[in-house]
Amino acid sequence: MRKKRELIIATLLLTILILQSGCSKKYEPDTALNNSKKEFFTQWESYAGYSLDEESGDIQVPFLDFNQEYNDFCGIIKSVELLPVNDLIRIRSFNILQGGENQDYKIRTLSIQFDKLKPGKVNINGLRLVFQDNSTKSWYIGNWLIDIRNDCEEKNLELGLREIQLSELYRYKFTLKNVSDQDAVVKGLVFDSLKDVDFTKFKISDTYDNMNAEMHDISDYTLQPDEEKVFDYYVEKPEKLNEETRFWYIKPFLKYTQNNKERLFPLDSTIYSGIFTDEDIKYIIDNDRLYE
Amino acid sequence: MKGDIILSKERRHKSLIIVMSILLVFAFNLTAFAQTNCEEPIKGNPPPGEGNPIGTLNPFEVSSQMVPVSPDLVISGISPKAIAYYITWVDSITSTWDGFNWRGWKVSGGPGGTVSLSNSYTVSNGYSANITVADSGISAGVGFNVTYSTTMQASYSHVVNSGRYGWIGYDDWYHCKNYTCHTTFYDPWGIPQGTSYGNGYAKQWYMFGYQYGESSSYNIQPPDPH
Repeated sequence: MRKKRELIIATLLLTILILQSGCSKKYEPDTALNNSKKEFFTQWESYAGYSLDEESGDIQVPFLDFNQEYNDFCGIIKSVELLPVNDLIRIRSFNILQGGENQDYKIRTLSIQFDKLKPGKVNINGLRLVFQDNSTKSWYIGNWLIDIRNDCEEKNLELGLREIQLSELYRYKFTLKNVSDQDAVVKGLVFDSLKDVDFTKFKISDTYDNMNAEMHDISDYTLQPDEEKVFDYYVEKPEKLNEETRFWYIKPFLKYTQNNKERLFPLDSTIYSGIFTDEDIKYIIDNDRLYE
Repeated sequence: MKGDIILSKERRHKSLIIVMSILLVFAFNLTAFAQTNCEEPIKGNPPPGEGNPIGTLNPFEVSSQMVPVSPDLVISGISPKAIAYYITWVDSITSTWDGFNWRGWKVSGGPGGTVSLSNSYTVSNGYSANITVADSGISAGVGFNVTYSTTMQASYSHVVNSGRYGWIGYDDWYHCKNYTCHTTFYDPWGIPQGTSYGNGYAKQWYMFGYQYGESSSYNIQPPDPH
């Protein structure tokens, strides 16, 4: 009888232990913070294709700021550098955009504008902040491939309304008008070094929100002079992409031909960023790394 | 003679109760009280996929609950004192679809330079019905809390072409369900007093989309994207 009671108690204790270990633990900022780190930068997979003639380029990196006051961190930043240091781009300016906040942290975005100095490719993966006392601190910010081209032909096409931010990577959407006097054969998006991102389907329609537009495999589309269409490109296996990476930035080129001559047109950037759920916050903190 | 008068009074009283009861039942069955807490989404060309739907209920949270009748609730002109509470059940999901609500062009900047949007805004689920319904019943039927709302964080800036004015606006995207439902009204003793049958829709926020357009003047907005 006594043995039976002990067995029941042991079973109960074991059950409680199993249940406790199985329960998902809610994210608590204090437990995630270590070594007194108070700033956590987001990690990106990005491709930014520019024409040398375009307006200034920009990189936007949201971060979590656990400091009490603005002047504990943001207010004392004197200058910003992108790493590795290179001779293709030069920082023009930076500013900090305010996002939302809760009692523990604020979500801010460091927006960096840069000038393009010459054609070439550079893989930016870090950020160095110089503070007013000339001390510095550097973080990884993921992979930003900046691709500057001097062989773009921009005057024949014109961008209209376009989608610039979605909470997840699903599609790339823009309105395009042929402002030349010749047919332009649209071939598709051009970008590289974005792991597993492949736009394989598209919709073309006359209106920005045509729900009846049919999805097709990507093929050539001839845009006649003065013709305007909405192009809506879709990625393959979006669920897998969004599970593995929360922050994407894509600024591709559009490949088109006129008189059988191949040309590139720089498109706009689209940001695909998480919506800062508890899971996103945990992801940001877990993946934050200081640049060595 | 006196007994006949009493009997007659009793009969009249009973008849009155029967008539009142019939009226009450018919009133509930025939009268529709539209109820909504949101703007109806528009069917559109949605970003595919699940996104990040908010307010999803787990199986332990799903139940139709009694809703006490508040003193100021008017049900077809009948005193709410006759009704103590009501319960709503979703009978069937008749269709599912994705839709959006366009919030309009929110910020502009230019000429040239950058346009910035620093935003913290509330996103909400919602529902509508053409009869009086209990939120909990609709939530239980569609699988998400139809009154859930939360704050989204977003800050973003965009380079504007020189000489042009840039505008940023945004959409909220929703997974939507159309449903049929019924609400049964009970008196203080738990006896059903009538049932209303109706239908409606419920929407669950799952994604936002920012749109960008340019114009030639600070007071000319780009055309609405939708």
